[in-house]
Amino acid sequence: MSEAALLSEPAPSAAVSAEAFEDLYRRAFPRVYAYVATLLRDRSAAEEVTAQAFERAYRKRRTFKPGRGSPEAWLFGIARNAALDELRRSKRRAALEAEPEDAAAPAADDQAEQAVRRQTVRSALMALEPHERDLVALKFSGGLSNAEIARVIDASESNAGTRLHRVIEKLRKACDVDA
Amino acid sequence: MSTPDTFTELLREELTPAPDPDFAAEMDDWAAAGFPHRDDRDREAGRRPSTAGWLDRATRALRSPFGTAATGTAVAVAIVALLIAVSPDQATQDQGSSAGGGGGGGGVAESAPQLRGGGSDAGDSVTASPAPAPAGGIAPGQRDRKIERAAQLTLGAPADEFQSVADRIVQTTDRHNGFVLRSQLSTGDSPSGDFQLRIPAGELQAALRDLSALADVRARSDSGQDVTREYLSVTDSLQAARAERRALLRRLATAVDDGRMQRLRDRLDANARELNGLRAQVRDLRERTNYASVSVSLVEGNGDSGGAGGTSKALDDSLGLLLGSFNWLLRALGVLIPVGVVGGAAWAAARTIRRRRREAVLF
Repeated sequence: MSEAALLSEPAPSAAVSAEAFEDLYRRAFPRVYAYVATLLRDRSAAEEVTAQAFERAYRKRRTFKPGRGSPEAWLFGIARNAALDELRRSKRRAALEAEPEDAAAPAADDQAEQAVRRQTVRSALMALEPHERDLVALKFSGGLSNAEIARVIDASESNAGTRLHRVIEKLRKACDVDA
Repeated sequence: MSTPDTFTELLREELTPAPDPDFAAEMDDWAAAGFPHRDDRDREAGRRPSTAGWLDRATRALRSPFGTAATGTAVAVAIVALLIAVSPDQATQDQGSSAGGGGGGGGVAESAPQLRGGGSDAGDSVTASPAPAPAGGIAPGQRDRKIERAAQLTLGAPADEFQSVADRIVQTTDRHNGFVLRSQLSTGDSPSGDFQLRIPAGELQAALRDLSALADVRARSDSGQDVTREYLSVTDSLQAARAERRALLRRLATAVDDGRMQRLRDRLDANARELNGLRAQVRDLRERTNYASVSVSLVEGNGDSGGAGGTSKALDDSLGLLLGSFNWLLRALGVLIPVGVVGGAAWAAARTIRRRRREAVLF
């Protein structure tokens, strides 16, 4: 049975729905957190909003309609609303929190080169407008398809794809120029 | 961990901050517990529950597009229910207006369903209209009221049953000690019948009940006119005229002068004319109040001559009820549909505004 079907299945299979939701949580939690953290640029707020998003989604899981998009799109829609509400409340405009993990230490030359590249990308991301950052966060943090992004931002798939393409091209150009 | 060597990989790496391990562990525990409410979780952890309590959640729900639309719809429905509850009963109004309305086309169509009960039920259910005050006063305090009553009845029967129904009208009149003042019966292409009956006032309701059972009642009305004041006035005048006559006769008996005797005779003649006129008025009033005037019109129709209980009547009643319910539903829909459209538009507008307001932080 598909996840969408499991989520939409009403009681008495509530346990199945809860189980399906837990599967969705395990698969999407890191991505939801990454997306929210990228949007808010505040780890503490991102944790609160992520928990809030999953709580809301769990409470609303019976309202999910498979015909209106994937469970991920639905979940990211809820997370996005929660994040935007938080942004509106706090008016946060902090810098991106993304801190690269250096678990595997590369060679010295590679490390320097990577640091430059990383700084370039980071600067390019910082220069993005909030709505552009929202798009790339949905794509790269959330790992959503263009169709799912379209569903989340309430636009057509082609429109979402076009806007995303423009933002990536903008980033690419910024990185090339800076490089 | 492989080194990111492409722009996209680097971008993805930059945009995927990992959650704090403690937070991830807390979330995993929460998920394993079946996502209990966070207030409960806070209580278990000894923390104060979130300020977003039930009141806050209710306020948020009311402010949501759905909440706004639901609240608006609920208010509209309450208003509609209130209007329906306080509006005067249309059926009662129709019944009131049909009484005394004669046998006109509209009157027949409106009053027939209310009178279809037929038989004794119909007779008992219809009461005479309150007697209106006659011109010149109502003679308060008079216990023996003089009421002039009249009733109109329109019966529908198949053409081939006209004669039979007409015979039974006469028989019914006789049975109630009444009489037929005038009658007219036509058969053929356009059959019709009219009967002017006089029924003793005390027998009126029973007679009407029996007449109503003879055929399909198309229309029926009763009316009453209080003529007590007029009756008292005429009888008083009659007594005065009689007293005057007695006085004139006494004076005539003692008169010796021819001229005086002639004048008294002339006055007695005038008094006699007055007395005759007053006696005629009293007789007329007594006849009008002792006997009710009943007008029965017989028209062609497919009614059940057997009175109440016919299948056709039952079907008519059912249809009437159905139409009544349908009319009520139409009235309700006439209000609810516009309210629903406005509510839906408001919901859509509120949803769009809320989304734009929420996304405004991105622009």
